Amino acid sequence: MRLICLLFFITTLSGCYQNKALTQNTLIYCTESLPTSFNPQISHDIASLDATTHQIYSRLVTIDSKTNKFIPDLAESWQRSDDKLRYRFTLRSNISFHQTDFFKPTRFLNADDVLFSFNRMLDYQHPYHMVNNQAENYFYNHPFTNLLSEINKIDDHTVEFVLVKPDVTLLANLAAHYAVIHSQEYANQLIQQGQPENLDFQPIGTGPFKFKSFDSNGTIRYKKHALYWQSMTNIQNLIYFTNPSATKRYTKLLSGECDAISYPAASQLETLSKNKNITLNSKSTENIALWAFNTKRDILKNYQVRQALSQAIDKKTILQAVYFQSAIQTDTLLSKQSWALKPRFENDQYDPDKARQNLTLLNYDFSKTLTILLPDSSDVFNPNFHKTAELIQANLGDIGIKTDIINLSGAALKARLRSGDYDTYLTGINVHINDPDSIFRPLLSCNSTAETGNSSHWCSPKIQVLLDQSLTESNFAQRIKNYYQIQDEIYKQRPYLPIAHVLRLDAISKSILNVEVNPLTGINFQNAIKQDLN
Amino acid sequence: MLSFLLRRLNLLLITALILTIIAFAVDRIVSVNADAVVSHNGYISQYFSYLWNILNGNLGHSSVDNQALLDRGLIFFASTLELCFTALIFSSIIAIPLGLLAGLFRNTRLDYGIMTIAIIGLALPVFWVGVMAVLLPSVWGQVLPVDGNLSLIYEVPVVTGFLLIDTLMVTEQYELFAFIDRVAHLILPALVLSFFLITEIVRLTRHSMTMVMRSNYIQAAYAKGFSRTKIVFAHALKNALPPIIPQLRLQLSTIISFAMTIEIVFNLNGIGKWLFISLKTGDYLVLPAGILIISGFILSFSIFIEILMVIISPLRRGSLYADK
Amino acid sequence: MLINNGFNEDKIQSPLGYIWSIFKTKTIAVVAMWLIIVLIIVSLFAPWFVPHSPLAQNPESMLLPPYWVEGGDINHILGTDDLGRDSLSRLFHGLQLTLGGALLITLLVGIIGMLIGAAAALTKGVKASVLHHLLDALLAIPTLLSALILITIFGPSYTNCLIAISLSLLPQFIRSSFLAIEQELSKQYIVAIQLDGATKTRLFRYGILPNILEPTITIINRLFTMAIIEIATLGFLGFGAQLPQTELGSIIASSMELIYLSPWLVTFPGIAIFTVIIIVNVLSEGLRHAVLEGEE
Repeated sequence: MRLICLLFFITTLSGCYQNKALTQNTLIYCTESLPTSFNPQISHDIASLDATTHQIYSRLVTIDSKTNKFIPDLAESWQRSDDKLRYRFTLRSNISFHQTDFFKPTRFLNADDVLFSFNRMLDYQHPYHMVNNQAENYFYNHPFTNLLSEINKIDDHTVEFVLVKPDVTLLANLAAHYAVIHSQEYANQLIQQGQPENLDFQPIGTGPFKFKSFDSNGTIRYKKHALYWQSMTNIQNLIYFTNPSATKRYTKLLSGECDAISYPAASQLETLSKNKNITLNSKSTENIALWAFNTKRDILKNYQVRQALSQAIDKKTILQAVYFQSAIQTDTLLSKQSWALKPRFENDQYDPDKARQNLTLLNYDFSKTLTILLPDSSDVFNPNFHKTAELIQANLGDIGIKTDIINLSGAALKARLRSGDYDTYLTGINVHINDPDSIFRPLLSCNSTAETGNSSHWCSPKIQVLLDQSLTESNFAQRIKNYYQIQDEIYKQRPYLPIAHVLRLDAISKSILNVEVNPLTGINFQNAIKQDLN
Repeated sequence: MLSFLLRRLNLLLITALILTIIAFAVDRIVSVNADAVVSHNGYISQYFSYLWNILNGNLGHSSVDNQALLDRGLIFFASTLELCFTALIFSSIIAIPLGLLAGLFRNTRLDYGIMTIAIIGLALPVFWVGVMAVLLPSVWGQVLPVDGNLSLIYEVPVVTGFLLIDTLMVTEQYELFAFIDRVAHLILPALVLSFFLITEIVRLTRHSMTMVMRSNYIQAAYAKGFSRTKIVFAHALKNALPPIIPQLRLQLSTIISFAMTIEIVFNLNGIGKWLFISLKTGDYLVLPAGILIISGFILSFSIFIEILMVIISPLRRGSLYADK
Repeated sequence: MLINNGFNEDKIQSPLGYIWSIFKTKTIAVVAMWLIIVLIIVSLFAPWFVPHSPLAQNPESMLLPPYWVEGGDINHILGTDDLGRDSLSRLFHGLQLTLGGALLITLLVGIIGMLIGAAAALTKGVKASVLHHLLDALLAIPTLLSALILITIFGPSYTNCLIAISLSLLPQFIRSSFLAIEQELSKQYIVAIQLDGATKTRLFRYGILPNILEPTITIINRLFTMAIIEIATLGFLGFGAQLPQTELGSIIASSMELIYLSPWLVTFPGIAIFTVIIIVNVLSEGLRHAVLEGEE
């Protein structure tokens, strides 16, 4: 009886426990992982970009999502000089930086802020150059180094970018996530306080939302930036909440505790797409799931062995069982959207009998147990490493190869990768910049270690030369040609078996309108509108 | 009285000392695993400096985000205690009447029915019930939150760590909504945790009630011709309930163990989830801190209850004098 | 009990035999006993008679529902998981680890705990005092915490998980058996045996052991229940049986992300744990009642 009373009490309570006035202007986005910093100049992982690029910061120019044309953002307009070497940007006036507990701006945005933001990356003597270990991933942070010779301040509202040589990619680079504008005044204040590292963790920008707090439980809070120059949003409080469990995120979306979630579990996609209250937003990305062969191992040294093993893997089933509809099966490292992709007419064939025959011809030692190393947790490019490994194990079992699945986490995994004591590794790569180099270099460069991506310990002088050449190559056609060569060579050599290109997925409640997702720069709540569906 | 207190205190001290030794040993082992700087002093002197640090309230800092472990641990533990306490209230409301009935009508159908419910409560694995609760929103829609301590729209500063109290401190800003939201978030986890507690309390109450009903003074009351109802309410009840408390105290560590599991399943920020997440990310230093906080609490709480029982229950006062 | 076999003479039964004869009259308890025996045999010999290997994948039939649900297949009575593995076979194999582990722990902890408990109750002085304080300290560490400690030190594996659970349940069991024995010790017939000059072992074997049967059944039942729940819990948290080992808790954990697509993958293992505990509890209640009635 009391139990019934209690249940009755619960049901009556449940209806009214949420405060309508507060929920109406609050948007909660539940994400998979925490940002590594709040500055897209130094962190290129998608979680950091989601949390910063469009929310906190603005750039000089942006790309219109519909027309794919460059449109002005902080820059009102720009002119190119006749020799195509100088770009002059006129800055918008009366743009104010965020006013927060930790910083009160005294002036509007001007040319000094632009200079500061770019010089931090370009100028080795810059006081902020080394802050927060930028030097460690030097290469990826300096897309402008080969592009720009100098940046000049013409007057308070005009800056001039001088190129090394004519290059059309300047605007694209300025629209990329790493070209955000910081406040120089704030940076100076931090130097005075002796805490320059806070620039990247207590950010100040000019974007539609200002940073409020971040706690280690995984909650990031933003407030609307009241002085934002073109805000359309009715969201007063933006909250990010990190929960690595896809099921939990989905549950919270259903119960209304999250308004939008990133990466709903692959297995829930079917139910999600049937749900009338939820929009499923999917964008194809360059992110790829791979199976890496450790080419330093005797047993895998021969490329024909690697080819034969690739033949034995039934990718179709992996796609079905692991990814459901959240990825596209692939045979190439580059995705279909990449301009450097060499069209390929013959596909990988799943043919276990042939694989076994080939291996027998190659005198492959079937008595050896092959190890499959994998990370303990899931990642954006693979929702379930272990399940994938089990499928591969079954495939290899069919052709008579015994396998051992080893899943490790954190430090133990890194140590194992460093030691090179594994035969194969289930991995993948997150691509942040729409450039083939950003996928080939970590995977194939001799300078890249297993921890930074080269888990096949691949090092070939030929490919290294091609990689380095195409990076500085100014002739676009030649660059494409180089990348075609790399792809041919890699397809033959098979240091990696590409499995799938993963989709960027976000499930958003129907009550939220105008959320844009850009697979390269992150999610954008700038124009988000929350409406009352009831 | 004084000698009794001294003896209890002595017991507390020695046991606490053993606990610190265990914590110290764990600390040494995990530090070696984590390649921390190993000092070259002997273990004895290391232990004493460790003990000194503990006495100064310094349990070290997290190796991941470098926060003081004691402060964080205590805040998380407060939330765990809140869960346990709510579950205790839930289960007492449900279980004490059931247990009393079962004890009164021993070996009847009613008794068997109640005891069956009790066994079911024990047999349901706590984590599984939690997992099944996660299914609720898909079946009923927006009923009760199944994840987290408090809705994220409320920003409640940590004062006591007990969110029920903290949310009451922000009524100026959110009125009572934050508090109600907190209660809503507590209901399901507390219900799941109380499954186990209900079993325990029903058993204990039943046993205690049976013992009381068999006792001579109740027989005497019958002989006086009092009605059954009057006997039960006037005499039996107030004698049947107190013995449950010390028995329940013995279950404290099991209750906290279950509460920690529930936190992990329901994603509540309590000490269980804190330990779990930290261990998964390789921050092993939380373990000794966790041991000291949890076990320290259990130990002091047991002794507190023991002293309390002696003060309120005349029967037990004998142990003040008897040297047993 | 009358046995009319021509001599018209009462056969005097041994106490255990007498209890057994009472137990036999309790139908539910007897059913529970048979069920337990069947369960043990089933989980022991699961590899020989389950229709599918628990690791055999079948890409043709992934995520099948149980056969009574639309779309189910009679070949897979409880359906299949996301790799097309038969749920029923996995359940039996899981039971092998979960139930088997729990029985093993109960046996080990039961014997060791009873011995230490008896030693603690029968000795006095410094030794007992040290033991008590140590016990108090260990009892103040919740089982999950001590299991976490041991697993952090030795690494997660099924064996380590069993060791951790045994070590964390041991203090509780020692305490309960100690209390049971001490209660018995204060009775007068024990004093009588002591006055007879019986040695401690003799006192324990003939004086105490037969008389603590009833509390022992209760605490062993509790030990078993806790063991099975702890094994499943640690498996669920990823600290117990490691994939591809099939343990009921870890099956639940690995099916968590499929909970909306195929809820039965999570439901059945839980029901299996639940059923096992219920059966054992019913059996132990039956035994306890039989012992009580036998004593009266």
